[in-house]
Amino acid sequence: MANTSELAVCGVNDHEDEGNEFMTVNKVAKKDRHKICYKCRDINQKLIILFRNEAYCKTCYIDLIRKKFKPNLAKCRDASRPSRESENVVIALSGGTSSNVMLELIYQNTTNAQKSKLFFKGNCVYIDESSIYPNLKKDDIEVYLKKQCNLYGYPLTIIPLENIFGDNPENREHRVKMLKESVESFSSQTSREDISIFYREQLLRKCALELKAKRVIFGTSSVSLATKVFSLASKGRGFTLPNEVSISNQTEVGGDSIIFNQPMKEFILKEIYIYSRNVIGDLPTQFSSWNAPAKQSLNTLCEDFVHTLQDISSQTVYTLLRSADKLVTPTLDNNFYCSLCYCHLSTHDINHINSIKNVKSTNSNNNNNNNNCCSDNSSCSTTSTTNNSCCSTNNNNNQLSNDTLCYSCRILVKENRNPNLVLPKYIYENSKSILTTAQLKNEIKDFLLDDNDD
Amino acid sequence: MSTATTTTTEQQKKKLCEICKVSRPILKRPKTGESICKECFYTVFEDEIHHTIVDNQLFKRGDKVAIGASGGKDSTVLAEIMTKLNKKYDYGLDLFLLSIDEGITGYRDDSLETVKRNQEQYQIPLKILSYKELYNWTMDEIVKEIGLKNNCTFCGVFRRQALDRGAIILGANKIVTGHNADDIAETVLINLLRGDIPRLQRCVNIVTGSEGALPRSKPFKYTYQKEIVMYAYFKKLDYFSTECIYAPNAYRGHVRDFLKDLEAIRPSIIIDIIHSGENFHFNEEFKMPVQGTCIQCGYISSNQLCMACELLKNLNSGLAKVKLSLHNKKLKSTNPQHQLDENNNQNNNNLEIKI
Ligand code: SF4
Ligand SMILES: [Zn+2]
Ligand SMILES: [Zn+2]
Ligand SMILES: [Zn+2]
Ligand SMILES: [Zn+2]
Repeated sequence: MANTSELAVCGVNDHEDEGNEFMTVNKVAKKDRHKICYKCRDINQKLIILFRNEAYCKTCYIDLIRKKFKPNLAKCRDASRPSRESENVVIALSGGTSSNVMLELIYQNTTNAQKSKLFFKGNCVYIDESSIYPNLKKDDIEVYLKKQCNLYGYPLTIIPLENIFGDNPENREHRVKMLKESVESFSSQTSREDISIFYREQLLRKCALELKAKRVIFGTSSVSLATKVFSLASKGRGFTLPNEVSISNQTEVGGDSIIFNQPMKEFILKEIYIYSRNVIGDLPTQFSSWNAPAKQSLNTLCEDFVHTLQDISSQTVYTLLRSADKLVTPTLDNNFYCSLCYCHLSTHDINHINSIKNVKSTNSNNNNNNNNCCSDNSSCSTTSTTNNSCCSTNNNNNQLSNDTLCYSCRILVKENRNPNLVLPKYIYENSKSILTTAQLKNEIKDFLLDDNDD
Repeated sequence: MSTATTTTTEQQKKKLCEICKVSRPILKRPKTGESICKECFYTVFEDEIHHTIVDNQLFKRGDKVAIGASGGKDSTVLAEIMTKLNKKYDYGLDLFLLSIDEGITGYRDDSLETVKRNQEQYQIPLKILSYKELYNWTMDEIVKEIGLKNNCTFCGVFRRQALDRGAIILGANKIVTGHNADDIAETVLINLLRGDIPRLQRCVNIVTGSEGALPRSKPFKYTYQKEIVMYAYFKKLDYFSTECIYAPNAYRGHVRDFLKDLEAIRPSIIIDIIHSGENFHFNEEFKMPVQGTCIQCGYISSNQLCMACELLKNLNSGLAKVKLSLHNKKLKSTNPQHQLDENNNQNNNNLEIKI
């Protein structure tokens, strides 16, 4: 560490002064070997960056990053497709620098590339979470994203998070209320964060299906993924961890296959910030004030910890991701996924579901006896009669069996303090469909031929 | 449980132990948050370990079991629990205490006194085996030679073999150590951070060591450190709680603090991390190295010389400092500094396998 720090190698040592790596020519000139751009050797080029111990001019750096991104983006294509046939994809924008840089990089490698461009038909989607994060500067972000998408020529869809409870324009307020209730019912900050992430992912999945896209591309950077390695391990998600931090994670639900891609996996924050400043310019700040309670969420604790360790050893993020690369999530049976988070269930969980004799007697999590679709029925009258209702009025359908949840989601659900909590419909539907499949399989199991006994 | 609860019984319940509903609760169980009485705590604590032992078939009747005893709280509680369960459930085990004397003045000599008192109390044979008699080096001498940087690497490698050799001298066929759930969770995180896949694979196993080494098990695998401390405290067990004077702290210390922070938010985190570790599946291409035996001492090894002989060879030729750094380079270890689990002086990261 000590001997490299004086070189201020791009991307190592610390994360605080992201993007402040621009070096003046004078500073660089102190070291003879950094006098000219490592790549173009053009003495007239102004040097801006020390990257992996080599100095680069702006043009060469931009080129470097674009080239680095390309093979990763290529992994986000259906390999069986003819290479010149455009694939419909959803580009998930978060309003943050990383996904914004990714958007520009996708544009460069698809539309603007001079030679050997990749063929994609991008649809940008932004999930607006302002109804649960009131500090979010929703308007600024939306104006900015619209401008960017316009610039690159991608359509932008903005979906409010409350649409997890349906999209009837008449009952938006009711949905916001339900969303808040369904998030705030969980006793820990961690679970509140996690459930809203699951909702966001579900909306993206749904939107992708509607747009006839088979994949959603996320801009998650290496640091965020390394943080995920820690937070997933801490939440008991060891089985699904390899999938969740990989560049490509496929889930199959009811015959619909959706792939989540994370092509920014190889990019460290500094690379992203430097690129952003040089190519795109400043982004709007996302929050008017950030008052996330420190040390109250496992997610933020893990994030802080990874940053601390990265400061101690610049290899931390890299090593964590390499560790995860050496793990795999075995695909056991596509019929068995977690009703809430869509991760594959482990052998133990699947065996448990298969051992259930009578589906109706499984321990159900949500057995509310009142016939209202939410705990407070005052605002609900308009919706309960229509088909567009935010939640099912038939309580027989409002059952979430703990057996159809992964280990980690069982912990999450246990933290619910509200006995009348109503979750979005899809969760109950998933739960029901998993149990039905298991039961059907059970009934015909004696007649199924095992691959192994020929 | 099924009887209707009225407000009055609710209030009464609050004052009574949640398990026996008779005595006054005096502690809040870290694992479950239940308020329970002392006697019920002893029962659940002991029963859980009994179940771990039975469910995982850790022992057979007639087994001779060496308890790795350092005089610290984990191994002292382990000795107490093993003697107790052996009697209560008639496991039919022959128990021994096995202590390793690393030769650390002002630390190990004092803790060994504790072990000797334990021996008198539990009336089971004790064997103390020293690094000096096995390797002709004490840790004091090693530190003098190599300084304070890689001392725990030497110590850990030497201890692992010493435990095996001591157990064989005692005629034991199994070893138990006091590694608790916190230690294991911590090791899972550390191995992820180090990218140490072979150890990541092994560290959550309740029994390790096969093919030549004695089976080594961890009856405290699912036991929270806090509960072990509670047990030792209420039982007024005699243990030694000073840290090794050569203990490095930086890296493992960070992880330990981090784990404490996580636990404060979600008490089940220790078990959840172990659950993650148990559910890791490893890529086929990362196979475990083939095991052979050391040509010099016969101990299991994947290379010609076992780690201990390799380290000794260098120590004896005065090359220790140089060789170790070369070795670390070979390992491509990102965090070469090997650290100790100070709590029970058992090194979690046994170095017997080279990559
Ligand atoms: S801290 Fe532990 S491993 Fe390190 S020298 Fe001391 S006793 Fe040995
Ligand atoms: Zn250049
Ligand atoms: Zn889940
Ligand atoms: Zn009691
Ligand atoms: Zn040897």
